[in-house]
Amino acid sequence: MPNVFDFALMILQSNPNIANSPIGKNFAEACRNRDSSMGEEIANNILASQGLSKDEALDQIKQKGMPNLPNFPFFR
Amino acid sequence: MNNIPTFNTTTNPNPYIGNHYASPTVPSFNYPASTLRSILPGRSVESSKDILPGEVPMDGGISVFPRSDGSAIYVKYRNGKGLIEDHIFVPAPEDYNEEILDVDQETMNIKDILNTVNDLSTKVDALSDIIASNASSNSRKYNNKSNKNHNQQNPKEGAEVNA
Repeated sequence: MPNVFDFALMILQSNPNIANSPIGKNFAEACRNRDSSMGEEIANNILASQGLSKDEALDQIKQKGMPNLPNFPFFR
Repeated sequence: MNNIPTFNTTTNPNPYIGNHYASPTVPSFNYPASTLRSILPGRSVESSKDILPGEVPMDGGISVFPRSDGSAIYVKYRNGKGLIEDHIFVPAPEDYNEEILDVDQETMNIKDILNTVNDLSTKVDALSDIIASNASSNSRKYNNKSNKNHNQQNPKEGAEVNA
């Protein structure tokens, strides 16, 4: 019986938007290795490049949903 | 009693004949047909400070921002850790010209190698001469010392021995 997590990861990695993106590859690798620090680093770097802090992004999510991140193709 | 199961073909057809079930695999999702962009993202800017982080795509593709005065082109992209990396391309000077070789490049390389080998052999010969001359001078010194010791140990009759 395959693990649900591995199954979800397989679906995630089959998405070409993630498979062909360096951020997506690293994020999938972090998920596979259960490396939360790597995932947090990627998230913090993306937020920092947008000029948002972690708290500001969380506040935006609570109020409006996903933060204002244009060109976010993963969940098109 | 024989409890042989019977199949009612009308209401319960054998699934292994006729209707074939697909084996459970990863379900197929309809992804966007192509992720290739036909247009290069970017725009003309006055300086690098005018470039917004949102203009750099998340999929790792490059975005190009030429300066309005044509003095440079800024190319930005995101690396695997989500950080934005940038490169600056500056136009080459007008007198820049790629070298056109009259001689075959391989021939030039072989000549360079031969010249280097000749130089090295000359230096090796010089070093060997120096070593040989040093060795001969050292051997003369050792011979003088050994004669002195021999004379001290076996002095000739009437000879003065200096300690």
